[in-house]
Amino acid sequence: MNIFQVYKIILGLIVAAFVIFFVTNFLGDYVGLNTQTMTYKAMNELRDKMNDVYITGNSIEFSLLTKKGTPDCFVGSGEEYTSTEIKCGSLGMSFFTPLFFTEGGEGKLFINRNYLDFGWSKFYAVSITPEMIILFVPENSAAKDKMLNITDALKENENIKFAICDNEGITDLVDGDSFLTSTPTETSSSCTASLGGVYRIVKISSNCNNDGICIEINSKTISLDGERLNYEDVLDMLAVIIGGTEKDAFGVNQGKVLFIEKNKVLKNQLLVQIALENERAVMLKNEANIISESIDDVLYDIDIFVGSLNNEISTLDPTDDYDLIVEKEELVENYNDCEYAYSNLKTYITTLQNELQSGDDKFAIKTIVSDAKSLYTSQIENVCQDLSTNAKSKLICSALRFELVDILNNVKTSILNNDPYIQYMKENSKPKYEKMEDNGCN
Amino acid sequence: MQLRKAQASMMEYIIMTFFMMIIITFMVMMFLGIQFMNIDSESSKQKMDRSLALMKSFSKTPLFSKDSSITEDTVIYDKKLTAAMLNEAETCENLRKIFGLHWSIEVAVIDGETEQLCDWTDYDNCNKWILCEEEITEGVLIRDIPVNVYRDSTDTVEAGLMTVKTYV
Repeated sequence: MNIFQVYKIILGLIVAAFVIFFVTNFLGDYVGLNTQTMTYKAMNELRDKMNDVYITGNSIEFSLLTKKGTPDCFVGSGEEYTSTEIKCGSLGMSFFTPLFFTEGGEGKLFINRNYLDFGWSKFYAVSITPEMIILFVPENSAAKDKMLNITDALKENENIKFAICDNEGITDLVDGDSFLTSTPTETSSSCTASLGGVYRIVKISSNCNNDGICIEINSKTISLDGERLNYEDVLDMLAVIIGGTEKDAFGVNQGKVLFIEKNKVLKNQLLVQIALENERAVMLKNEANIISESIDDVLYDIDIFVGSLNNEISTLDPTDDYDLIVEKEELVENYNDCEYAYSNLKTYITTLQNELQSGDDKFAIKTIVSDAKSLYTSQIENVCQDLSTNAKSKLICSALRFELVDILNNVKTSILNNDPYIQYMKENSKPKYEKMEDNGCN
Repeated sequence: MQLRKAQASMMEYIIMTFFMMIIITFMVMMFLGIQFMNIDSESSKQKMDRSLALMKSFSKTPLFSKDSSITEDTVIYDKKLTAAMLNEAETCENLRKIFGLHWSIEVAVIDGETEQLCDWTDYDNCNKWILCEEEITEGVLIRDIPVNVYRDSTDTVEAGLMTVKTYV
């Protein structure tokens, strides 16, 4: 073997090693990148579908399945400005839509919209679920209402079936509508089933232990593997049930992550809405101007009317037209009362205008509007009915709006203090808004 | 003579190796180029998708819509837009916590009148609202969508145009 042959062998080995190293490395990266690209495209498509459902409310089916199988995805907590995040492997995608997501193998996911109706506003959230069976264990006599609430919220989801689990086994699986019409009233003492995967065993009890998902009615808490979460609405329950007890990469129950994310988005949205309602109340300044002009018109009409009546009276013969004179003098007196009441109302409105111009002291504004409203009801509406114009509705609407804003500001305080607030909104703000609608207020 | 022949063969090998290296480098650069182009186009698509999603959401969000059983969130309420503009800084800060950073919206009523921005002094006779605008002129994606705008003062629904800008 001469030097040239040795050189050829060494050079061949170096080139071969280089090529093999480079090609394997490159192909490895390329395959990984390709898998990620496919996952990314599937996530992107999921986001588009989810946005469509969020906006239109029309449910659809969707599959995350790619040529490389179904990626392992879970919901993670987003940053302050990125909202909720779905993470599939090393990829993350943020969503500004509130969502309840759990992926379950290769089957199709069902995407539908749930909502909370506060009357003056709505809150939408999107559920994305694989095939799922919810087994209720009603250990409490009051459990039926909770079962109905949950089933009603999920009844549009074609992937979810419902049944009762007790010591005799599991009843027939039915869809939401059928379950709603046949929900049993009996309580179930125990459920011995130990099922994972597509099953969600939901106990409804007066005293939860530390296993799985359990709704404790008396304390308004949901126990998730022993951890207590205070629920305020049906979406809180859906978040925990759909997320379930499965743990994410950080060891946190998905149910808890969905619960926290839902409340984060809801609170942000409510804070914006409450701020807007406050601003709208302060926009009364211009409305006060309109009322003021309307009062001026009424006062002018009264002056003209009373003037012409006095002229007529002066031309009448006191002996022949005595009854007519008395009648007209009563009318003049009545209109003078009206003028006095309207003048007082004008004073209130002027004070209100000044307050809105200078202060923005909502308590003072509320008092002025309230006093003006009382004056209107006690004097003007009763004494000068035929002179009532749009001033009445403007005053009532202003008062109602301030009352609504008061309630909403209490809600805001509760949100900022992490106190319960949803029930308060339903019981107070919703009827108030309905009253506004009844009075034709916008 | 034999030494020269050996030298010539070695030169052949060196030249061949050199060309092989050039071909491999070229192929690698080509693959990487395609990959970068894909990433780039995916990134552009992402920005377009975000812009589209924001536009759809703003046109239907309960935050700005006139909610009633009839309109079902499809009508934008002028007073809510005005209220948002009255305390714009705080409102935008809170809205960004929901919709993310770097966007702005503009709603204009198509009424044939001169564009008049709504503010404290005039919110009944105005016809345009701009929210959360940023002073960025480059890399701005602009999308618009026709919307219905409820005018409180006249109790009418008018046609409008919502423009969503995303700053990328």
